[in-house]
Amino acid sequence: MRQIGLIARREIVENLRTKGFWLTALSPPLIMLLVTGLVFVTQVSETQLSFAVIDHSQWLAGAVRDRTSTEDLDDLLDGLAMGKQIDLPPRLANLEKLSKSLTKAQRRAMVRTTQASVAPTPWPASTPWLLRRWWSKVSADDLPDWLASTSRARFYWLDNTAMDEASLRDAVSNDRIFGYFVLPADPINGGEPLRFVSRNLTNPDLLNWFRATVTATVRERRLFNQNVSASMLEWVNQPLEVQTIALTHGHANEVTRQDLIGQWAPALLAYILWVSVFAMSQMLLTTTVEEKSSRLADVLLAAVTADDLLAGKVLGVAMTGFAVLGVWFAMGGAAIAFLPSASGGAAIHLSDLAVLSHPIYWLSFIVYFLLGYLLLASAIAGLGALTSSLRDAQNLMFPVQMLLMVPLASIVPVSRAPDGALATALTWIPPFTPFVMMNRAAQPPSIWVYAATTMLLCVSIWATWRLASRLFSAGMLMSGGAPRFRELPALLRKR
Amino acid sequence: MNPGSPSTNGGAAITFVGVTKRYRGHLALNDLSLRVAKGCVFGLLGPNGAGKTTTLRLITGVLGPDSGSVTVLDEIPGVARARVGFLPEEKGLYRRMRVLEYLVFFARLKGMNRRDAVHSAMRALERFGIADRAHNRCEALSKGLGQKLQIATALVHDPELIVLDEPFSGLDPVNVDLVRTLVKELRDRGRTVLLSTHDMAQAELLCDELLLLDRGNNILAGRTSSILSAGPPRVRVAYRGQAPDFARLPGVVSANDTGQHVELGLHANADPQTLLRALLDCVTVESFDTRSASLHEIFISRVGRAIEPATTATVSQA
Repeated sequence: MRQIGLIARREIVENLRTKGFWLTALSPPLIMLLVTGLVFVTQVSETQLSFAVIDHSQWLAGAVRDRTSTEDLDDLLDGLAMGKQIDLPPRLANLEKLSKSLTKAQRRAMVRTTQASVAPTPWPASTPWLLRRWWSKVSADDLPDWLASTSRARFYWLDNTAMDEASLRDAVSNDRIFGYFVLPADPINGGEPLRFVSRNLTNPDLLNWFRATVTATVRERRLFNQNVSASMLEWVNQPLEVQTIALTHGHANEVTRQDLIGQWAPALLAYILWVSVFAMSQMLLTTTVEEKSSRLADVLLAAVTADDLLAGKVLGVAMTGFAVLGVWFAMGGAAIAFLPSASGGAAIHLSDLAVLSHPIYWLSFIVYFLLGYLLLASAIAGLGALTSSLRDAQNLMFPVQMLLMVPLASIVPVSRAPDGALATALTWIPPFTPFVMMNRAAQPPSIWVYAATTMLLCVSIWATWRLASRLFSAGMLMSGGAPRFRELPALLRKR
Repeated sequence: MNPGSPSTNGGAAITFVGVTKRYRGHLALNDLSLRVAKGCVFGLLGPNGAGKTTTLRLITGVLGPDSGSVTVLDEIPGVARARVGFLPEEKGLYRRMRVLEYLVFFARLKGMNRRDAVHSAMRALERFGIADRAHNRCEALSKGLGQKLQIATALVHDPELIVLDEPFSGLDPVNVDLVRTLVKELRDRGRTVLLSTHDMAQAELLCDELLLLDRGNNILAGRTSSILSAGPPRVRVAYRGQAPDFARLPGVVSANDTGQHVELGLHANADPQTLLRALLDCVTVESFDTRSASLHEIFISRVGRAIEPATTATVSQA
């Protein structure tokens, strides 16, 4: 045991001295940070998609413009009512207070009020008009992040009254605008399609938004033409409100951000588990092949048994793995703690992660890291000892790596259906068990499944370890190329 | 034949009884019996593939025999590990470890506590003249210094049995002398040294007892002095004149003629005087020296071929 400890300690110290360790420890969080930063920066700096509209109907474009403003202002007032902040012109300074005092239905009514239909209302008569006027002129750059999903922030409707279609084609060709729409002369009766002209067919955002808005506007007009009253229309168009209840740990609560984190965390943890187990196994493979190819095996095996050497190496790399995970989680925590303030408070808060303090998450992660790593590492060390170079080792590892692609590819499907047939089937295949069981933590299976799969994993580890230690002891002393497949049974029998 | 008389301390440091070992269908050792007395320097000689490395691995407990039994320091080899020092033929170092740290690591693997290990490691580094490199990384050592560190590793825990596999390869003449002196010191301190080497000349100089292996078989074993004295006599002749067919001269079994000199191998019972008279009838003899056969010549006479020259040792690093 003392010798296992000495070998493990040497492995840790040796690994900490390698560039590979620091690359493994720092590159994933730095890359994640970089990608997140890039997404953030590109979202912030992303230019609006500008477009133009040629309206052969003479009415539809205006109706669509009104509709988009109305929907945007609904979002604005809902946000203000929830306490979100925005810089407003002095004449609308009371809008925040007003929004909070109104019901949702009153806010909807205020946005849809026109000057012509002023009646005694809880809002000043000029407010709806001022609001629309300000909204039509406000720059997207002046809008806060919480209004980033409004059409005003995402798209810029070019005033193209002085431009014919040829000019617009020219503007599209020269990338001055993203695209333009041609509205048919008689959209009510149909027959002629809505045309969209653009050079970019891979970004469907503008087309999808405009098509949905035009369709809703035309439907509304058709109903209106059938003498359906405005109030009836409003009622017909009223979406059904959805309240999502999460049934977690036996309690029914309205879904919070913490609940969502709790639902998605297992998938993320399963991914981290996969990356860490894979990276640590590769590290073990590298050190095993290095020791063998540099002929250190003879002198080591003259000092300790092959079993102790294997156990020490596996334990040392496992400890290194925990150090790597420590760096990852610390950097992740630091990013979560500091990034929200940098991004205007839209990101996850550290306090949201309190949900992960439930043992189902952290205990699963630790246990499945150890079990998954032990299973994979023992197999990899045994096979790695049979080779004399990293290239040979990588070739031998290819089938193992392919096998490990299965749990990686199953992370999303399993997280969407933790009790589904795929998740249930993969749970009982030992190389996949740790990753799938981790991923199922959001809707944990019954305790007997945990007990049985842990037992299955332990038995698999024991069997793999026995075979691997034989391969390891024979392989570390072997010179020349890897043994032929038919020689493996003899190696497994020998001690 | 069991070589190794209880020359000094009495008792056996190593005993093999009918040991056979096969690798992947190849017979590495064939029914080998061997006894190495405590306190002697024992030479294990043979060409590549003779079974030397397998013998050493059985002694160090890295391998077990397919049949027969091995005893090391009165224990089974695995149990005796901590009392054995081993210098492998192919020498590897952990290149990122520091020299002192490397020695301490192996001393502790052999059972020493940290304080004793550090103390002993520093002493070993001083003995080999590399104490000033104690805090250098192993990768910074030259090949020769790396090999010295390896030898120090085999000795750092003051083992009772030291197994040295090709300790001279890769060393310059000064360090060859250093290792030779070290082996003698170890013997004087009552330690048992098992020396596996291609270098017959060094074995002749150092070993009390020898075992010659070829293709896993015991070819010749016994005290070095006995082996050498029992070898066929040799004669070296400097001559002038037309060289005759030396192999046809009385008592001659082999001749290596270089023009001015000829090396003649004789039958064990050949009479050198008869040979000299026959030579004088053919050529003008300028000198006539009789001597015992060298180990190299004895080996050739036994197996019919020479031992390949020793390969240059390499120090690999991980």
